[in-house]
Amino acid sequence: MVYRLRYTLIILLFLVNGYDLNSQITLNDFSIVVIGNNTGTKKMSETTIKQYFKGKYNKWPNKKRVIVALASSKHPKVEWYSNLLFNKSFFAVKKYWYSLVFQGRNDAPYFFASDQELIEFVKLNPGAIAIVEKSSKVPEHLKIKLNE
Amino acid sequence: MKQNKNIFGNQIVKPIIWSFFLLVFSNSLHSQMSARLNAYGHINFESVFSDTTYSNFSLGEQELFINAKFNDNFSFLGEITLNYSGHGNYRLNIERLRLKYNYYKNHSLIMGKFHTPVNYWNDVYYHARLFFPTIDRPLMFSKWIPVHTFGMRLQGQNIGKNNFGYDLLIGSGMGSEDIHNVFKETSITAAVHWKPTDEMRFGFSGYLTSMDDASEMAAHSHGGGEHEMNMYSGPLDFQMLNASIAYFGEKWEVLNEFSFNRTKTDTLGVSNNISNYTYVGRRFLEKNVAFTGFDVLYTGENDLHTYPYDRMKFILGYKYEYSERLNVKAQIEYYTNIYDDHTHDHSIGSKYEFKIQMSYGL
Repeated sequence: MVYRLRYTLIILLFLVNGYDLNSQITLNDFSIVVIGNNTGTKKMSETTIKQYFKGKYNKWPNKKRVIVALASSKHPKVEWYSNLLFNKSFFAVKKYWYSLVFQGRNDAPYFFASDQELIEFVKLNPGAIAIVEKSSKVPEHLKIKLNE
Repeated sequence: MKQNKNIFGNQIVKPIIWSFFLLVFSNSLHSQMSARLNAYGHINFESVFSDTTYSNFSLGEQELFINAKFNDNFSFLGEITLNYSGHGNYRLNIERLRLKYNYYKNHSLIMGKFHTPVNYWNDVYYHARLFFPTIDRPLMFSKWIPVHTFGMRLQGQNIGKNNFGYDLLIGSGMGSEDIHNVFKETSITAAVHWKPTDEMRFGFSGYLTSMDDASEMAAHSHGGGEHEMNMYSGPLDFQMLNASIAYFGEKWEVLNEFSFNRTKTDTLGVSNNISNYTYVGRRFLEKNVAFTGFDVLYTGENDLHTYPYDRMKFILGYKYEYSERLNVKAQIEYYTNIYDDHTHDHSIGSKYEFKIQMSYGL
């Protein structure tokens, strides 16, 4: 019953909005690598990893606090990364996070101007995650594989 | 009707509070604390066109927001507002002040003063107008929504793949002040919500309390456009059900807040009261939103909590977001009574209002 209601509502939204909920870009399609430090997992589904970036979980399976690191407005790939992770523009991502922090539901994410800065931050902070381009020099132990 | 509303005693409350604080500070000694400070505020312009016409340009609520983490499990959140109270004076209010213990995955125990999670608006927007979809809160906030509760709360969020959430809280009633008589009356709130997609949330809640003096309405003195004082100072039982539907997508924005409450007094018996707020917005060119709204509120003829009242409000407006921290809203409002046939002696007539609000966050 709940599932039927859910899918009816999604279909209704699709008709009203013209917004294709299934057309989200997948991280596997692009030259992107997910990096994380001491998250207690080396492999994760794309859906789950995106939920961590959206602040849906406060802790990793190993009970470390989730620290989200994102590209800042100065990062050359900021719009691309925002679209990949959130299916939103960077403007909408900032609004989303600004509201979540004010609600007291999540800690604020950290923003960085380059892939190198993102990698350095993740390297120094247990529980931190980010995405960077595969061409960046990423230590093997930080990589999280996507299993779908 | 029961006269003793206090289910808390000092023997129960004090040890719990002290244990909680000891737990927080013993943990914080072993870890580095991080804190974040923000400020929010708004400036208003409004013109009212009724029997008399006037315009005001005013400073709205200015507020400080602090969010701090003692360690991976314990956090603190505070929200303090400064409001103009006339003659160059300002009133300082603590709107939220809470300690949160994240004890398991997405489940937490919260203690302090917080917004009662009876509907989407009160659980998401708080006091920063920056996040409000329209300039004012819905009308129900000026009549019966218990904005704040001081007490203890169990919270769960984003549970399972369907993102269920719950809140169960026990705390002060509607008449309680922030500092004095905190546990004079008791309220119980149970709320659940469900987020089938990132943009959508459905919520349902129940709230009940009993008050010895219905004229004390500290917890819901937040105007949604019109607010009146209650003259009845006798005991009253209050039960409320709310339902919320929120959708904030890339193009469309929809928010519906429904509220039904039932009050009971020995003097006039049971009264059923109802209100519904609907907002529909259409976003274009990413930062522009054209919106409309309809707000309706009706209280029964024998209600002694908010008194007989019927009102409708139509809204037409536009919002421009300069950034995620600065926006401007302009709206035209039309207020009128539901019954305009002189059978209800509480008609307060019709009026137009034009408002502009600039809200910001730093």
